[in-house]
Amino acid sequence: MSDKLFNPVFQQLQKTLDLRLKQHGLVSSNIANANTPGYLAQRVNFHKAFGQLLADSSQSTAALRNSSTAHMEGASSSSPPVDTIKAQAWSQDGNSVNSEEEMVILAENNLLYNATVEVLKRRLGMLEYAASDGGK
Amino acid sequence: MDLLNILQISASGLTAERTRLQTVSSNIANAQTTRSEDGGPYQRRLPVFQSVAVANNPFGDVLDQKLQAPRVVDVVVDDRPAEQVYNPSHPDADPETGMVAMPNVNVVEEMVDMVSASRAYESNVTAISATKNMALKALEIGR
Repeated sequence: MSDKLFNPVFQQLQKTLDLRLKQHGLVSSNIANANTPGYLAQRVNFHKAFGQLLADSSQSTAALRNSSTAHMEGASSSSPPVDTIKAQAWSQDGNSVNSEEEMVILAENNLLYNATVEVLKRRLGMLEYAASDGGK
Repeated sequence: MDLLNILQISASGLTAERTRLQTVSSNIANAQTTRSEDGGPYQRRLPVFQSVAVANNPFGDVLDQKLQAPRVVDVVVDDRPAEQVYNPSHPDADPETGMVAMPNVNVVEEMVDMVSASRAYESNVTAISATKNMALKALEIGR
């Protein structure tokens, strides 16, 4: 029953927020290490990550389960695909951070995170509307 | 990974860049210093950055271990030779040749370093405010 109420969209939105947060962590790390010699920039590959997300949600019944209650819960069954950016040949210190690119990704990621939160809010608002008997 | 962790990474970025700015100001301030504690003219200082994995709980996912924060591990002395300037009236001039050993500081180079450090500092500040915005936005869920 709750499957119908909180359809897969909620789960997908939650996973998307998680991915955006991870991307934000990687980009912040890249910006902080913009002058560290030998540091290689990393970021989440959203193309692959969303593919994984859709594949996971289409066969959600086959998710990992613990065979014993004594087993610890894993943080997440699959970690998102992360790309490591290679340093350009002209980079003198082997650092592959491109500040402008990182700032653009930071702003874009922030915007999309906010947008996802907004969608989640509207979805919950719709449920609330239905639950309150059409606002009566 | 949580937002506080990310804030910590940006904070160590800020610290690293501030250290760079400190060495730059030390270098510019001492661009004409001909005597130092180790004898001879002042020598240019350079900070050394190293990226270290952010300490994390072992139950976090693999991605958490990939997050790295910069640390200033050392401040080294630039061993380029001192610049020789002809100035026989200088108290530290060589009595025979009249040459003075001046610090190996190139002010133009330092200015470029200064601008680069302050821009990097600013981008870390931007990252921090983005993190803050995300945290505030997440609090709006369900409101």
